[in-house]
Amino acid sequence: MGDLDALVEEAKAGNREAFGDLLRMEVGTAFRVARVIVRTDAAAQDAVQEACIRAWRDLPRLRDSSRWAGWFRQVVVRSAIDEARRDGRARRPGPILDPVTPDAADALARRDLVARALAGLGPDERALLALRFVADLEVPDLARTLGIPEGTAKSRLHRSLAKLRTRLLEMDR
Amino acid sequence: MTDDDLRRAIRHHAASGELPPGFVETVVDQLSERSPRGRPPLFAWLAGVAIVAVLAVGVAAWGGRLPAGGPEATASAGETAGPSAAAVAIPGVDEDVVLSLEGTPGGMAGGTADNEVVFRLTSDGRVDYVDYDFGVARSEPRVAYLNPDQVAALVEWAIGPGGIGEADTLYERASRGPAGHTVITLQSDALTKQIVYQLPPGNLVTDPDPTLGTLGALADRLSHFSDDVEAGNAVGGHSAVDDDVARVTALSDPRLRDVLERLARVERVFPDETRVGHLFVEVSLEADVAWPLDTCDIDHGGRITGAIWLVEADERRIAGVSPMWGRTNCLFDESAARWVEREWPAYSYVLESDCGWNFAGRFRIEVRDGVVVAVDGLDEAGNRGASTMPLDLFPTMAGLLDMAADARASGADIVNLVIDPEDGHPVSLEIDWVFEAVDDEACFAVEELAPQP
Repeated sequence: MGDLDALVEEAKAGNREAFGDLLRMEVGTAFRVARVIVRTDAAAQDAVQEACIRAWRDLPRLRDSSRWAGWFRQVVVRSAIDEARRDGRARRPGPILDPVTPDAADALARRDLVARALAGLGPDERALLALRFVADLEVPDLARTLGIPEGTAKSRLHRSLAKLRTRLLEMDR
Repeated sequence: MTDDDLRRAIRHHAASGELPPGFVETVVDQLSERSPRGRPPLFAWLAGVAIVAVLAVGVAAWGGRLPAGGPEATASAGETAGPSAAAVAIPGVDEDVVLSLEGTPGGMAGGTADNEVVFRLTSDGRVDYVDYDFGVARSEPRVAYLNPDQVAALVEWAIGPGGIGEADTLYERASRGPAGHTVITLQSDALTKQIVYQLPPGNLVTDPDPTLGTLGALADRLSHFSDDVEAGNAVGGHSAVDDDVARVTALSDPRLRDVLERLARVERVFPDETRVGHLFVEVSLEADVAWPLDTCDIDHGGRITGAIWLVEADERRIAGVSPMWGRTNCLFDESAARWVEREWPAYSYVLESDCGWNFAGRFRIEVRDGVVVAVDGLDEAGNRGASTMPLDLFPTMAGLLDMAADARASGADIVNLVIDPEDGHPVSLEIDWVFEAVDDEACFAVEELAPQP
């Protein structure tokens, strides 16, 4: 934690290398979260880039260094939601490539369905799902990140999952 | 299809792309220089510091011209910008511009360069400004004013040839003017635009309006405001477009009234153009005021000891603390009458939810020992919700109050809670977490609250 504090303080003071180190800790997850929200690689990259710039600008306002990860995630989510809304733009889901999973064919098909099903959800709903299932946040952290009460987060998650499931089932028929 | 199936599918979808190599390095290379202090924390208002919180000046006229020579030229001193009659769109400005006035030794009261006044020019032509410092005690509260011509001239200069639209950085902010002057510098990068311009010290004045007095006097004046609005003699409102949203809550706590009567001084009152029935009020707090209600830590330093007040004309609900920006929303949620859930061991009520993407519909909810035990739909949407949603998603009275408190603590842009003065139960609750977001609102109305055997 000491290293993190030092990095945050250095970045606050204008040290770009330190800021770069902070970014490297988080951009991977950030990109994956953003990808669910905006649905394409290009838009996710835009969102993360925008988030990095916002974070650089606003970092002096981060008082508690230990909150860097959550704080940056919050910036990313807001950027991604902004990007998705700005887009409104019906970008098609990006290419489905994942050589990692052993059940690749099945997963591929499933993901294609998921990508299309996600397209039917709003950016806020996708943000919820991304934070819960990609960033692995528990509901309290998820609620804090989105700035909503836990109960609301819980009910929205419930609804978003139900909506996603319904869409998937409809498409699978 | 189980939740776990969905989880795995979403994760696979998320992992199906990746950032290009060297992404971070590229981003870091593109970052602009940042002042070591960055944008200063607005509410680094520390205890022991006299504070003036100022919000939102409309500027009606935009016809001014800067003298040739740009930033070195000065405008006339000492005039006060009054409330505008209507916002004027500024051609060519499609994003917010931050105007930053930086004090110089001898220039602003207190004689420290750490005093600053930040103006924010919004694309609809409004100028918000706030006076704050970094913990350096000042001898007396101040209010800084620019007259409309001065602001207009700045705007024109800013968006004109050689201005913000064309340059990344025109002037570095480090420069300071001669003693007795305030320097305003223009800075611009991808996200922040600052204008720094030299003004004579007379632009920054200690100038409370002696006719306004305390909150009690203000209340008298406000009591006629609705009539004035209806008669077309006044306009009022509040813009929530920026993140300097004033939040509305009940001002019924006698402790707060006490502070305001004894220690706070109303500096100016002026209407906002965008929401009829609302006024902005500038309040200065005397030094060493300790906020008697809940204060809260905020992300960017300090504890809130000052306040910006949004006042509704009808006085039923008067606003609370409202940071100009930042997400903290340290509203007091006290009420003269407090709801005590345990004093209502069994009760029922009708809940209507009619906005946003929370459950919609009309429900009759039965609560026992603080737990929802039954929900019946009273309309089609209500029937659907009642039959599909878990009981614990429906709020109790205490749950609604918690929801409002959570929303405030979470920095929701708007939290509108109306409480019954008799027993403190929530009568209506409106929450908008992100003002510009669609469908994230929650609107609840409570009716027919009745104890059950």
